[in-house]
Amino acid sequence: MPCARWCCDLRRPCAWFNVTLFRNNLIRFWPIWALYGILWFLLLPVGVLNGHSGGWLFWSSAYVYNPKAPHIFLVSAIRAGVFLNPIFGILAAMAVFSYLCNARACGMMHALPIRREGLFLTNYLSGLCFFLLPILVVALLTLAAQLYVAGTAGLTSLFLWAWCQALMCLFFFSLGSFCAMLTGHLLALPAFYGGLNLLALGLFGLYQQTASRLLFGYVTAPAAARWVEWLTPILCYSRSLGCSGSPDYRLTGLLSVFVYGFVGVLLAVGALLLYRRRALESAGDIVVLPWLRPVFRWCISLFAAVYLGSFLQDVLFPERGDAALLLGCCLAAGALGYFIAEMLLRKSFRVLRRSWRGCIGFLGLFVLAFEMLALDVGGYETWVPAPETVASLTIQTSSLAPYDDAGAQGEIPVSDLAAGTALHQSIVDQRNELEYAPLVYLWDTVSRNGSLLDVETQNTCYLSLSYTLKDGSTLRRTYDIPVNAALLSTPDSPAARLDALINTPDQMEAVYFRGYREGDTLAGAYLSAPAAEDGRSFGSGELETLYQAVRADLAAGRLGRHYLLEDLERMETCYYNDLTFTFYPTAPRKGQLHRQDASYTITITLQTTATETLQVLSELGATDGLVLKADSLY
Amino acid sequence: MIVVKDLFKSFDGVQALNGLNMEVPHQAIYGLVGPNGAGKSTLLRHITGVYRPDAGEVLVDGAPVYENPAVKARIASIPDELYAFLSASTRDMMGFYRGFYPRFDRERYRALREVFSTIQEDTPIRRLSKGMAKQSAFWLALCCRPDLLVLDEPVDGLDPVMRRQVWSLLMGDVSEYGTTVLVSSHNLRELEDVCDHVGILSRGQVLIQRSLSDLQGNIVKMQVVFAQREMPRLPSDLEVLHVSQVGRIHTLIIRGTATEVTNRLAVYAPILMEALPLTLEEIFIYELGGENYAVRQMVL
Repeated sequence: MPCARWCCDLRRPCAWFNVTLFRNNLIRFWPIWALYGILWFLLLPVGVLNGHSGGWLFWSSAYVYNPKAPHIFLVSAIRAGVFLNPIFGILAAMAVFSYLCNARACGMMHALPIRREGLFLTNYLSGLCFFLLPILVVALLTLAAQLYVAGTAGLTSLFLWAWCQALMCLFFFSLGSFCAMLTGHLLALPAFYGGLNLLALGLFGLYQQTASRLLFGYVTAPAAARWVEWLTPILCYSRSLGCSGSPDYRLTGLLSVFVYGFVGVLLAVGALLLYRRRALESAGDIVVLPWLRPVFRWCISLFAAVYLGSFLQDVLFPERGDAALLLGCCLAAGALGYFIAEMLLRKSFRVLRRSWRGCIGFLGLFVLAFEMLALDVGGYETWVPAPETVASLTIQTSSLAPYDDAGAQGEIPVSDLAAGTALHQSIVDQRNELEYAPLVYLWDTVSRNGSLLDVETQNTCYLSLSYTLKDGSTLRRTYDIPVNAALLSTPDSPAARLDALINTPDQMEAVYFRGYREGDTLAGAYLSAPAAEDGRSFGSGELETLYQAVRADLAAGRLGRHYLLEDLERMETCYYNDLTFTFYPTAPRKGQLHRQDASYTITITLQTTATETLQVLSELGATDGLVLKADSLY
Repeated sequence: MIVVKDLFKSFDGVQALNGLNMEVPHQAIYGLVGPNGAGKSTLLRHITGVYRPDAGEVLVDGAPVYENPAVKARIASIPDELYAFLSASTRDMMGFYRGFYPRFDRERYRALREVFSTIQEDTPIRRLSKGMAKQSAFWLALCCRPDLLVLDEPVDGLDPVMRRQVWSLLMGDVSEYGTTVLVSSHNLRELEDVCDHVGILSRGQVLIQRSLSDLQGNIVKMQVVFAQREMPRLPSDLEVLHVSQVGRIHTLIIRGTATEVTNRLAVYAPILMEALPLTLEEIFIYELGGENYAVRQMVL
C-alpha cells in the first residue's frame, strides 16, 4: 500500500490511507490512549515494583508479584483487560468515527480526496493504535521493571498478556466501529454497543421473564446457557478468562480470546462494508440503515413490553398475577416502547398519527405470541414423565419444621419415583387452582394449658422437582403449593402427597444421613437444651446405645417427621431439644491432612414419638431438660 | 467542466433533486440561485462527492466525482456550515489539508496572510467570529489550488470590504489559473456582479441556465412615449412580457435584442423611445415570474 508521502510526491492523492489523518487522530484523541496506557502502567510496571516491595493494595495478596514466578502476576493481570478494554474500545470508536455523527464534519471529511475505504482504514488503524502502542510501551516497561527487580523476566507470560490485550482490544474496538456504522448519533453509539454486547443475554432474560410468568412450573435458569454466554462477549470474557490458581496458575479462557479476536476481524470487515454503503445524510439519525429501523423499533417495543410490562404489573397490581392483567401491562408498555422508538427514529414527538398502524401490528403479533405461550401450545405445563422413563428425581422444598438437618432441605433424592411423579401429576392436574393462588401465610392463636400459642393455619410451600430421564435429558419444575389442615387431610392433594413423600422413613433417613459414609466413626453426641448450659454431652459408653436408638426410631418412622404446617401437632410433637451426633470420616477428605479435620455433624430434633430414643435418654438421665415447642419456656 | 445528468436524490421520501440537469462551462463563475429548499446545497454536496446519487451522475471533466479521489483532489469547497476540528487553528487545518491536497500551495498560504491579516493563525477556528471563520475557509480553500471551487453561500457573514476582496481573489484565480467557480446563493443582486453564468433551481430541478449576457441580450426594457396618449396596437409577433404606464410613459418588457425591438417600435413614430438593460432580478421576474411562485418569491 503506498503511503501518503509517496502519493504526494506523485502529486495525486492516496485513496486508501492518509498519514495526516492518522497522525491527526493520534494527536486529537491523545487522552484516550494516554489514559489507557497510564492505567496499565499502574497495573503492571508499578505493580511489579510495588509487589516486590511488599504487595500492592489493589491486588489480591495471592497475586503479588513474585520474581521467582512472574507469570502468576502477569497471568492474573490479563483479567483486568475484561474491564478496561470494553470501556476504551467504545471510547476509541466514538472518537475516530465521531465525524459520522455530525453533518458538518461528515461533509468536510467526505469532500476530501480519499475513498471511503481509505477513511475507514485510516481511522480504524489509528483507533487500534490507541491500544497497541500503549500495550507495547507497557510491555517494555514491565520487562524493564522485572529485570530491575529480579534480573529475570517472564517473557512468555508478558507476551501472553500483550497478545490477549491486543485481541480483546481488537474485538471491542471492532464492535464499537461496527456500531458506529449503524448509527449517526454519538450518544446512541454506546447504547448500541452495550445493546449488542448484551443482546443475547437480554433476549434470553426476556424469554425467561415471560415464560416464568406465563408457564406454570417454569424454572428460571440460575445462569445463562452456554450459547448465550458465547453471544454475550463481556459475560463470556468475565466468566472464562482468568487464572486457574494454585498450584500452576495457568491462564484460562484463551479460546474465548482467540474466537473473539477472529470475530473482531469479521466485525471490522462488516463495518467497512456498511461504511461503503452508508448514506451520509443520515448523520444525526439514531439508526442509519433503513432495514435496521424496523428491527430497532421492534426490539425496543419488545423489551419495553416484557420488562416494563412486568415491572408495571408488579408496581401497580402487586397482589394480582393473572395473565390477562400481565398482557394488559405488556401491551401498554409495548405501545409506549413503540412510540418512543418512533420518536427516536423520526426525531419528533409527533409520531402518533404516522405510526399507530405499525404499533397496532406489533401489539397484534405480541398478543399472538403471548397467547401461544400462555396457552402452553408446546405442552410444557402438562408434561409429567412416566415413572419408568425417570432415572432419578430430586426435590427441594422450603425449610420445614423442625429446623434440624432435614428441615433445611437441599436437593434430596426421591427413592419412590412413582410417588414423586404422582405428586407432580397432582400438581399439574390442579394447575388452574395453583397457578395464580396467592402466597398466603396465616397464623392463629390458641390457648393451651392456660398459655397462648401461635400456630400456623395456612402456608405456601416451595417445591422444586428435578428429573434426570433415562435418555439423558433433564427436566425441572418449580411450584408453590398451598398448605392447610384441610389440604393435608385430603390424600390426593399436592400438599398431602408432598407430606407423605418427604416423611417416609427411607426418605427421612436418606436426608439426615446424606453426608454419612459406611464406616464413618461416631465420635460424640450432644443433647441441646433451651438454655445452653443445660445441654448434655454423652460419653463413649453411651454413644452407640443412643445412636442405635435414634436409627431404630428413624427406621420405624417415629422420629424425623417434618411438617409443612407449623400447627399444633408440630408444637406438641417436637421438642426444643436437638440431638447432635459428630462423626469422623474413614479417611481424610480431599485437601485435608487429618480425618478429624473433616468431622461433620448430624442434628436431629427430638420428638415425642421417638419412644426408643426417649427411653435411652431416660435411662441416661437426660430427659429432665426436655421442653416441648408447645410448652412455654418461661 | 461539470456535467450533471438526470440527478435524483431523496431523503426519507422527500425528493430533494428531481432529475436535475446542469452544465457548468470551464473557467466560468456559475451562480446557482434558488429559494430555500430548492436543492442547492444537496446539489453542491453531490458535486463535491459527499452524497451518493440515487440516480444520475455528476461528472467533472468527464469523470465521476463520487468516490474518485483524483477528481476530488481538484475540487475545493466552502460549505454553508463550516467545520473545523475542536481547537484546531487555521494553521492546524492548513497542515491537515496539506496532507490531502497534493497541490496545496504553502507559498500562497504565506502570501494570503496579508489579505486575511485579521485572522490569528493560532487561534482555534471555533473561537473566531462567523465572518472570520469564513475568511479562514477561503484562505485554506484558495491554497488548495483547485480547478473547481464550490462555494455554498460563500460571503454570508463577510463585511463589504472583505466581500469585495474575496471576489477579487476568486476572479483573479479564474483569469490566472482557469479555476471554475460554482457559487450558490439566493441573492441575485450579489451574483449579478460576479457571475458570468447563472442557473436557477427550483424543486430539485434547474429551471433555466444561461450565460448572463445571453439572458440580458435577449430581453429588453423599452420606455416609450407615443404621440397619442394610448399605446398603439403592437404586432402580435412582438413578444411583450409586461406593460405598464405612468402618465404618458409606457414601459414595455419585450423579448428580443435592443436593436430589433427599437426598429420594430420605430414604425409607430414615438416621441421618445429608450432601451434600458434589465437587472438579473428583472430578467428572472419576467422570464419566470408568474409561472413559478418559488421564483417570484426569490426575486421579489
